[in-house]
Amino acid sequence: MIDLYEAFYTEIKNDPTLAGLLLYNGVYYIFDQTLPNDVLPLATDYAIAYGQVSIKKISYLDVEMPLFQFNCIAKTGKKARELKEELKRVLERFKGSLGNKMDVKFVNSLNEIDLPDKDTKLYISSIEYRVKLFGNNV
Amino acid sequence: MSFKFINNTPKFLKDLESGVTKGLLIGSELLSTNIDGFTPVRTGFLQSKNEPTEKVTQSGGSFSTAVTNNTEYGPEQEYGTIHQPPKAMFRKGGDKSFEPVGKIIKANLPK
Repeated sequence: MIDLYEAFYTEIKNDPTLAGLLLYNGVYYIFDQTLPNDVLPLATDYAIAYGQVSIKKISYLDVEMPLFQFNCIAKTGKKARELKEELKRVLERFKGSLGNKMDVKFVNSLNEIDLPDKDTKLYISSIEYRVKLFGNNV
Repeated sequence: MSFKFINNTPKFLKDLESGVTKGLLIGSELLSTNIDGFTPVRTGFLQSKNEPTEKVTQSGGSFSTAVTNNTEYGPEQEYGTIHQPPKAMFRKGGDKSFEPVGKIIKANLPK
């Protein structure tokens, strides 16, 4: 099974606008779960940390629906929200081949929350995406 | 003029309401237990604050109940920070409870 993490990573990287925001010194600032310590303090304006936080299973339908949380991180609240809007443009109601790697039935957003980070003075604008996979990917 | 029901619709609706209410109350206890299972424990304070509401709210045709946590650092545990991944105890607990709570509510509906 192709990793859903990898599919999201490629989908984000393949969008020219998001790639422009997240590429710095040849590195895409797209990370697993949290920002690694070696990128702090943040040299660039934008970063994304994302990961699977939960999974809903419906046994009688033989369906699993992973829940991913994307933290859009920036130096100001406005930039964090702008990054989230760009991410929504790419992922909202997505259907088809995610990152040209994995067929998904749908990707739908759920909750959004803005949380300033006290320690680093960075701003996090979070959004959740529920993914429904086709049967052969479950 | 009086109207007489020739079937048991009023009784059925009353039983339906009481069944949904009972199912939701039992379901919220289960949800709370499942959330507790995913809540990080150091002193136990955060876990002790996962509290099911003890009543069912009705709004139009929908019934709801909830599990709440009013600690100041609850959202940071749930959604994570720059340094810490999200613990997502409410979302994990919710997803784990989705199917069993549905069964509990169904079991309490009038036959």
